[in-house]
Amino acid sequence: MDINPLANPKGVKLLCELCQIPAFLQCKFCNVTYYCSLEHQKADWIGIHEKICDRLAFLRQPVPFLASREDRERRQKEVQVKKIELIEMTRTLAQKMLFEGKHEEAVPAAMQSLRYSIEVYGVSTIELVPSYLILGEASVGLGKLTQAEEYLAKADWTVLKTPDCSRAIQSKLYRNLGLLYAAKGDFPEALNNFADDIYHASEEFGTDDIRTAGGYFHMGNVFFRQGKMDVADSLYRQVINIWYSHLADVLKSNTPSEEELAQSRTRILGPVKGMFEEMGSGLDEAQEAEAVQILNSIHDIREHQTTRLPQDLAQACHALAMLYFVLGDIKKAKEYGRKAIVASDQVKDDDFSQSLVEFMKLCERQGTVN
Amino acid sequence: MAATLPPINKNRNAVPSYGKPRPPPGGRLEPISPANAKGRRDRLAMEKSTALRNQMPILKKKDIAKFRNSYKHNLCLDMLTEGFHLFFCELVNLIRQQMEKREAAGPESFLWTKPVLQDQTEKLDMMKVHLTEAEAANRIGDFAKEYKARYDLAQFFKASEDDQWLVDHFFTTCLNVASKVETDGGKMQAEGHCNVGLCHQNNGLYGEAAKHFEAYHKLASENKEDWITSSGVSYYTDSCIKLYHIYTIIGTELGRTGEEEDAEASLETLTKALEMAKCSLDKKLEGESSYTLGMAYQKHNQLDTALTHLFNFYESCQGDSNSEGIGRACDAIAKIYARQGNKEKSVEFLKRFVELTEKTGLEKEYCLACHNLGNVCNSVGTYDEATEYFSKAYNISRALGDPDSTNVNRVQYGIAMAHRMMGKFANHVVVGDKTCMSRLVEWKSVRTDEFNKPIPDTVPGAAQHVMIPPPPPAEEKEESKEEAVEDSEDPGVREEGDGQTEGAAES
Repeated sequence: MDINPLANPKGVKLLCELCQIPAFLQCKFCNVTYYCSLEHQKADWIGIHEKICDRLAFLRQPVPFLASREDRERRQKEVQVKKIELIEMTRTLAQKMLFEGKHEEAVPAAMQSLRYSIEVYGVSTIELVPSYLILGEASVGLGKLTQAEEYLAKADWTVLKTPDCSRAIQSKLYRNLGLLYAAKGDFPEALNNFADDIYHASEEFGTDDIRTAGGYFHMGNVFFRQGKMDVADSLYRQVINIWYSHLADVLKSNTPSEEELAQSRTRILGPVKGMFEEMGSGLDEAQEAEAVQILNSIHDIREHQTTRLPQDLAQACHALAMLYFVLGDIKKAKEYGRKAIVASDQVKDDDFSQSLVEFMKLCERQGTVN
Repeated sequence: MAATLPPINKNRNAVPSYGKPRPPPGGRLEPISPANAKGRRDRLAMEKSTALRNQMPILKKKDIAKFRNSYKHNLCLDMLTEGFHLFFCELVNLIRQQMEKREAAGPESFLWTKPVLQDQTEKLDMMKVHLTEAEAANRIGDFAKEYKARYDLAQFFKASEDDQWLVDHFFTTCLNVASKVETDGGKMQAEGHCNVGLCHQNNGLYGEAAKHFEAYHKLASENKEDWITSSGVSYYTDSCIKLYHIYTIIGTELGRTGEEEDAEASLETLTKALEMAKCSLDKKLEGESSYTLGMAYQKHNQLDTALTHLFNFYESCQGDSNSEGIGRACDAIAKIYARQGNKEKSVEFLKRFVELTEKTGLEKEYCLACHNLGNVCNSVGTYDEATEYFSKAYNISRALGDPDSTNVNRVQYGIAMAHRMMGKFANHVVVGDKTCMSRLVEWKSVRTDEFNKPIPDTVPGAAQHVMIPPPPPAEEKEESKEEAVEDSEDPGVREEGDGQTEGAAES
């Protein structure tokens, strides 16, 4: 015997967006999303719904009647594209929140991405793996290790069954497995997985790519917790180097050269354009969040280290300053720039000081423009 | 927690429905166990397989990975779990570099026939041993040890012809490491520069090599006495010798292009080479260097300077009685004198050359000396001597069994003999009395050489020999080559044949 709530048309089951039990609340903006309680509605709103409300309204509207087959096909295609866009967006957002440490908020977004991935690609396909990985990472962050293991096992199995699975996905899978084992305190197993992660990432992107740096960072953390400070130090140094050179490249390609500056100065009458107006960081949101997380934590570690080499701290500070500059946070950029100058006093490396001085000048200029 | 994590298996935690009873867990199989097998035979088979399964070791993830992954993959994983990430980077980049080079060269190139680094397990293992050592040393800041490890590795790869690029790589990194070592006053750095320089020299990058050797020289010259290699040579001397070699190579290369600017530069570099050879206090090198420089000057028509350098070489060779060197010096000096038109001096030196080689029994040089002397005599017009020397040269080269020089000498010998005969032949033609005519006819028909006999004195003054001018010397070699093809076995016939052609041309 099925019971239908009286208010619903027969056969229509309204289920909570988050927990799939019969729902009693409706989102008043899109009118297509339902919740079992206010609590869940709030959680979803903060997590993802705010950003995808109107998209969902489009996707979930009842299928309009279209007379011709071409029309129907066109519409289907359109919907498909929208869905894929939605998947990408929710995934990036979820990943970003994970990097920011907001594990709980990441869950609704990850769920949304998983739901639409299943809809688009079907069950147990390789395309679902990233969503499972995000869910796994979120569960690790929430301390739900059994749940995390289940997600990761699912992802692992799917990867195993897909022989030509891309190395990027494999690398991510191993990274998450590593995080899981690290959370469990099984350090050797965690190291194995991180090693696999780094290997696959290096094969895909190269050893000095920012996408490989994450693996180094986590590995460094494990060594740090094991008390092998020298190894951890060297790994952290590698991470900082990778980010440092990447950010320096981004800055270089974005800042106009001296000549162009001189030219724009001579053109007094011309409109004074903000020189760095459309400065992009070249990173997506998740990568930005990752950079902030990684660089900050390494910086903290360096600051509290008693036996550090002075240039390590200086370089970490400089990298952070560049990062904040690229992200448009000039105040913080200046702050870390100053720190880097203080730290680099003991370093006798003229190139480094030179680039630091140039960077500070850039900050000043940018500060006056804005 | 506000958000519930979604379930993995839709079937298991099925969507809660409005009062609908849960369906049984769909699609899940009961565990297979001996207890629920039907029939005795089935049960026995089941028990057997369970027992077998229990005997097998339980594979862990890592063990499985060992079978599934490539050797390189496993090696990398091992390294990374131990924390040697710098080594990992280096290895991956090296392998990638090789693959890219291969790709760039295309599948037809010879690179594809050679094994790639990632398939050569013992080399990978060797790298692992040394590079982990190096990285461990790096971590504790013991750069000397790191240097040693990398150096050993480079030495290991030196043995194999295909791995020269690895040798280059490790020597270059050696140099980088050495520049961090501060305790030994740059000794390691000097070594590093030396090794990198040698690598560049092998690869034909002479300019780069020279730069590194110069750095090596500079470092070594600050510690002339203290630094001594294992073979007892001081670094300074060694650096001088290396620089001498590289300068000589560069100088000769430049000299070959034949352009005016390069010629200047070539002379300059060779002069530098000479200086270095002087610094190395090695008389022999100094001599060699003078010789090369002298030859270069000679090539660029600065004969006097060339002579001074060659005399230096000559003296240095005499100093340590290097007869082969003296021979070369004499030869070169004689050639220059010949070019200056100073025939007497030229002949004198060539004679010295001949004597020397005769004494020391250097057959090949002796042959060459005789040949050269013969040439000079030929051009001066002393045909008797020329014949004599060419016959010597011819006999020696025949004895040596060297077909090229035999042919050349044979022809030259013939020409010289013809020249010798020419005067008398012409004389007979000029005198033209009966005896002469009969002799000429005789010679024409049976090649009996009776021209040496005195001519009966029918006409006064007829017995005087007509002197014919010496022929231009240069073209002889060319024509000799052609004639050598239609060569006969007996030199006697040959000589007359030549004489005939020459004679026919004259008359």
